Amino acid sequence: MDRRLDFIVGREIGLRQLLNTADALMLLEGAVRAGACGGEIVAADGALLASCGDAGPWKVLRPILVEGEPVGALSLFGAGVTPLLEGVADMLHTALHTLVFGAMKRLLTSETHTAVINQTYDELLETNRRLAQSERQYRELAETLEIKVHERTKELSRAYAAMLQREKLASVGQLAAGMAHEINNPIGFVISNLATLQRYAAKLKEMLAFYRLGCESHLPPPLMNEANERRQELKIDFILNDLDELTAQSLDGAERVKKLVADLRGFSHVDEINEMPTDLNAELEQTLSVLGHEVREGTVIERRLAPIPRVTLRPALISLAFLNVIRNALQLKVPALVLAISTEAGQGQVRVRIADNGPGIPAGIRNRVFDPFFTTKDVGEGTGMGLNMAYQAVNSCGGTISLECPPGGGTIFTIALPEERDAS
Amino acid sequence: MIEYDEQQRKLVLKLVYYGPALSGKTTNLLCLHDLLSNEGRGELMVLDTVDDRTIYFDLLPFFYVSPSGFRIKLKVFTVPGQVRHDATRKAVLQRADGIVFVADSQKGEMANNAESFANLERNLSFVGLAIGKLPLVIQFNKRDLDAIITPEEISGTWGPTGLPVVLASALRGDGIVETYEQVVSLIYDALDSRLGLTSRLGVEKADFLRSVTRRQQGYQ
Ligand SMILES: Nc1nc2c(ncn2[C@@H]2O[C@H](COP(=O)(O)OP(=O)(O)OP(=O)(O)O)[C@@H](O)[C@H]2O)c(=O)[nH]1
Ligand SMILES: [Mg+2]
Repeated sequence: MDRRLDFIVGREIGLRQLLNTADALMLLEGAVRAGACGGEIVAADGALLASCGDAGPWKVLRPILVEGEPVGALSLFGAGVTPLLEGVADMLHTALHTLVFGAMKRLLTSETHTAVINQTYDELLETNRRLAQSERQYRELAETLEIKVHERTKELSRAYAAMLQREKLASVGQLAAGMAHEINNPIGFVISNLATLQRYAAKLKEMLAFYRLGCESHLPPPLMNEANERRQELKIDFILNDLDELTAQSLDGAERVKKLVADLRGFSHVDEINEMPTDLNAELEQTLSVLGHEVREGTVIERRLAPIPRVTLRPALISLAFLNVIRNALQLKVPALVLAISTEAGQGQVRVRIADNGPGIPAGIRNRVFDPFFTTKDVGEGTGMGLNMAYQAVNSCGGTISLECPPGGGTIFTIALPEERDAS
Repeated sequence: MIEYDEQQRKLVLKLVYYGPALSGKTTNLLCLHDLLSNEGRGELMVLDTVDDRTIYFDLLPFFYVSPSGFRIKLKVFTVPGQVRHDATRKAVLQRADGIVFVADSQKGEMANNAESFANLERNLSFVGLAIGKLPLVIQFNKRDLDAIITPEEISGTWGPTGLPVVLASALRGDGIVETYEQVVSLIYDALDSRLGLTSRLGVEKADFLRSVTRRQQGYQ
């Protein structure tokens, strides 16, 4: 442990530090040899610093000044106040002052030197400490850098992919909406014309029946035979039978097209880019309707949609999330796929669960399924973007998406959305 | 302040002459030593120099005892102006009560002056002193030379700071005592408001100033 000496340059230095007793004694002894009876040096506080010989009846007194301040006195004793005694006193006084001044100078020099060395040493220590600290920081940084770069890259590619996807989606949505609009008009008059056609056909059928029942018997036999032949040739009976069926089916089909188009319009939400109170159950229904053609035969979709409060969010985003999670499940290659879709509210949240009876997701890759471009499907089947898009969309809605694979098999995706969102 | 001992009724003050190398700090002290009475004053101590350039410092001490018996020692220091002695400058600057900044008036020296002043600011804050709160007098020395900046240029630069500026020639002895008197007066005022020199300690300003700025007989 090094003991530090801290000097204030200019601090007061006492006479005792400037004049050592041996030097003082030597001077006093010289005075005695020169003829004085004795002498003494006394500090200003009365302490005797040095004395020699005897006190005589007479004494000459000289003040000792350090930096102009009287700090002590020199006394010489003699048989009388002689010029010799005065002269010796003056000499001694000068010698003392020279000694003290020299000592002062030496002390100041060495103290300043020490102060400077200490300070330089302090600065060195400080520099060293800072260097060590920054070195440690760099080392830590280097260690975490790889992880950070990895995370950052992941985030970036996620964001980039999401951006791409969102753009694509927006244009797809616009396309869908445009097409829906274009289809909506013709399908409208197709339906109305089909209905009219149905009515017309009924009238024609009635008229034909009237002809057959009322007029056939009055026809001359050759003409009647001809008419029967033509009827069989033209399969009129079959046509009359089939006509109702055909128009009914067409009408039904057209109605379905109309509904699909309406759903598509709603689903793409092109007109609704703002947040609004949204009925998630309705969104789920709409999503299922849009995905209707992707539902393979034998697939069972169970709905357990509880009454839940509306959640304020961008409907396009949340239906996008639903679409991707449900589509992901629908693509599972399971003989008898069962999809259970449920909603519930509680603890300030609305939760949507989409559960399948598939093989589940291996624990090792569970935390990667939301990564962009991550897919386990065959090439060409999945883009690896679906669940990432769902993740992004739910995030944007202020919610969370998580998954669990119960021991019994299958996967449950849970989308949790706060009932009320802080304005942020 | 270096020391303040109420019991001992003694105050030890520090005045520091700061400035770039060769601006004339040591010459200022030599000049004060010559011009001021040696009564109530110590010897000028010029610590080791190399080629006349200060390596540690110079010291000229003054000692005053008020009629009330209160003692004040005023130690006037110079710092080494050379850049490499920064550690010494910091050491000397500790607990300073006032500063005289000795600038070199020669035209080519303005950059050195500025750098030294910046160094003063830095080092003051290093030793825990605020330049704005410390009595500070600017001296433009070497007015006897020809290639010097004009008083207008000086007041243009320093006028806005409100700091007292003294034009001086340490070589001729002009403005040297004035510089010293000004800074001592400022130091007194600063201490008076802090310690109550007049009211509590019985140290009158006029008496104190007269004592520590007393001129040598025959100069005046
Ligand atoms: N012409 C002229 N020369 C001066 C004046 N003052 C000082 N000098 C000269 O300038 C040189 C340096 O003076 P010093 O007093 O040693 O300078 P300093 O500021 O103590 O320098 P450092 O100790 O290195 O910081 C000496 O040669 C002085 O004679 C002045 O007013 N006029
Ligand atoms: Mg010097």
